[in-house]
Amino acid sequence: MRNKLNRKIAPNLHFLRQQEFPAFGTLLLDNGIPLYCIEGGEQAVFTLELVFSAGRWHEPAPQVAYYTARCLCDGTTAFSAAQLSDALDNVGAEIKTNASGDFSSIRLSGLSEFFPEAIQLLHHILSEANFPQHQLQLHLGEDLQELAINLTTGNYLAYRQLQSHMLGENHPYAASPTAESLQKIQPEILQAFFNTYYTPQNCKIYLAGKLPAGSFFHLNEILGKDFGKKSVLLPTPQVPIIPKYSPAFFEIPLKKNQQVALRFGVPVPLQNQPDFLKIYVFNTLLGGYFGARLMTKLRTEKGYTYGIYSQIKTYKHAAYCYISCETNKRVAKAAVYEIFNEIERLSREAVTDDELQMVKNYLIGNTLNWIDGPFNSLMCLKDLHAFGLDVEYFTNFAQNILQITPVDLQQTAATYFTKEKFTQVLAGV
Amino acid sequence: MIQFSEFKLKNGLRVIHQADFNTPLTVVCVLYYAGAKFDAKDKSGTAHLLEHLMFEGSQHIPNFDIPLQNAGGENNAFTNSDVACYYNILPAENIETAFWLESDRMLGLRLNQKKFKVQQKVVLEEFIETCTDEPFGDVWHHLRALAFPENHPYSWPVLGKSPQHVKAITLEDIESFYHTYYVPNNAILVVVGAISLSKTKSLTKKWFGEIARGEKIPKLKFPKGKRKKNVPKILESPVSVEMLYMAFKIYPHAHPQYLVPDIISDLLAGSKSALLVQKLVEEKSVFSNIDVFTTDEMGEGLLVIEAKLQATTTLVQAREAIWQQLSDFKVKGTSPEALAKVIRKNEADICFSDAQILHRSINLANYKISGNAQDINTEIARYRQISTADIVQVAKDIFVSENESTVAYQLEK
Repeated sequence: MRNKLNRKIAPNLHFLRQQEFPAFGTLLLDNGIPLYCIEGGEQAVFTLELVFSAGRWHEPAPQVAYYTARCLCDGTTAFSAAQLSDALDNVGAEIKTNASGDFSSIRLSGLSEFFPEAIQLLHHILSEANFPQHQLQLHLGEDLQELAINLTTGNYLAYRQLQSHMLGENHPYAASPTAESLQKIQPEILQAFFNTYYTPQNCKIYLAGKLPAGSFFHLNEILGKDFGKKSVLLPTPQVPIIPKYSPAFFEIPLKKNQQVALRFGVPVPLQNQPDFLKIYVFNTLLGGYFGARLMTKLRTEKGYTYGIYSQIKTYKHAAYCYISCETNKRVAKAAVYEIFNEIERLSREAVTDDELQMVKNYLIGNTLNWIDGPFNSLMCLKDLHAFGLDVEYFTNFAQNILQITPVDLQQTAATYFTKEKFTQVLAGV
Repeated sequence: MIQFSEFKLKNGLRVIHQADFNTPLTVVCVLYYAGAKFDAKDKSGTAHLLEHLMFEGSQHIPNFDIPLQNAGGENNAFTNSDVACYYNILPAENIETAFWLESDRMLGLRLNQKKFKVQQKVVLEEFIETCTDEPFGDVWHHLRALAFPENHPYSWPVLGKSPQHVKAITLEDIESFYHTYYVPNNAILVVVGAISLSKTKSLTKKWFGEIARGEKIPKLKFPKGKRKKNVPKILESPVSVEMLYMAFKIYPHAHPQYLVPDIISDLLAGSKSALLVQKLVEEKSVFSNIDVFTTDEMGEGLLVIEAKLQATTTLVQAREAIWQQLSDFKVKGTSPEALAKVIRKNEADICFSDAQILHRSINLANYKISGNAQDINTEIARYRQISTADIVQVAKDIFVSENESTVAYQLEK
């Protein structure tokens, strides 16, 4: 007879080791663009991402990087927006564009069998995009309405206030759209930004998926040729002097709402600084996963909120950590008290070895998601590069995380996360 | 082609296994045929509240998250009108932890009044955050109530018809729902990732094998009553923008034309060259934005047109403009080229979704509960079979006034 199963005893756990980063290729196209490539996957699809150093940091006026990216596929000298969209659909491909604090990117994904056709279209757009006025007006009209809606919600108002205070009101990273800033966007400004920054000299390419034979040849034949304006000298961005951070307290009234949106932020070192990993682990412990201190206290024990998180906002030249939560007006005061009580407790009492080990295991296990399949791996590589890091950072991640001690985290709490350093925004009071 | 195996335990648990050694991870996903449609009609929100309580410890294990996080894993769940689905993604070497945790919460929960009251509060906050304070967040309450007859299980949203309904639920209601529906014969286990079939078989048998089969599940009765007359519901807009939502009843999963409305939604608004976008946003500037999508129910779902009005458009003009385009579409249909293009785009979307092990696992579970897991491999072929004649026939069938439910948000006069 077999033994009865003892369900109170957990199955043995295997010690998690850092995985190697998947093999990837690095090539230079004829025009000097570095190409990083991970082949693989069961489905016959690919993703190709072009990254340009052309984010909000580089823009001459607020929202220029965003609208350049947004309007990129709105028309070329040969095709209308609808024709471009049809041409892409015809080859089962899609282009998504994005502009962040430091970068603009174009992601082309599609069916591998039409890889050459899809990149040909991309090359055409990169060479001939012409930002039609009519399409721009459609976007601006839509976005003005969206802005009006957002300005009635606590989470948008609170986030916007926090972002502008943490970085400085006039900081390019922080610029939020306003009715006035949107009215200043003109096709010529977008075209000029595009001409200057969307060039081979300012570009990196990331490619992943199941690729047909000859793909590199095709890629080099097409994207290895010049596109955009040739050898424009990149201007140095004019970044205003960033005011020294001092914490502040903001209350934004929103009478109709039943909840208050809480956003509490504190500055932290940049991602490439030595203390960053400790901050990263601290953030996870505080509010970075489901079992985190804040979630346990405010959701599981008190029922004050549907969710509470802390996260780190990282840019090349700035970083801050912030806590976000929507909670009922009736319990908002109690929620604020509990949040700071948990933060303070982390500097007062060392975390137990068990809890810290759990956070480490969770984080190390989580790194496997970053390298799950060619698409995730490629995005991971891209993100590392964005912060001037390489795969060694990934390979050493587990080992470095494992070295962090309870005392380290207590010191991190005391150094960076004391209550008086936090900027507090409450929207919906 | 996704190669997978299926087997069944004596207690009725259906299992799907797919080995994928290209990933260092494994997904364990348990789907219960226990979505919001099984809620009592005066206590809607029960299925969803139970989902919250499934994370509050089980018969032999005080906390669900701690062991899973210790194993390097992550988990979450969702409930829709048809099913509740729980999933864990963790390093393959620690996969047994997920079997242990999921089987124990199928075996029994450890609930008490305190945990129950806290999660009831959490759900009420979720209600306010996503429905009450969010502009237009109550649209699904109104649309579903219009589109389906009174007391039809699709007439309420998963969160519940109202906060009062959620407040009316008791711990006994939760326990009774759990005992009825959270049984092996009402569940599907999907295991995908770096694990062999024999290991999946032995772990499944070890952890799930001794769980007793539940009583036969009572058959859901759909009220036969007719839905209300087609009169648009006009609400006050909470912001300075007017919105129009038009919903049309579409086919249940088992219907041969089930996929066609999805393709129609793309033809209407899936790209810049789509009909409603071209005519009503680009050319005539009736709307600043228009979107069309289908809800994915096993029974009759909805195709929804969501449109944001330009300040110069009235709601009456807006609805007329859409009806005019739909009437044209019913006559002219679409070209073979436009259809082929939309189908190809869909094909890429399916491939990208199946490339992720988590999506693939949930897709497999959904196909299984809807009838046949092998449908995952014929989906693309079935899309390709759709003809322009199918488009016209289905458009004529669904875009009729008796089938329309409209909710509009109007500015204060």
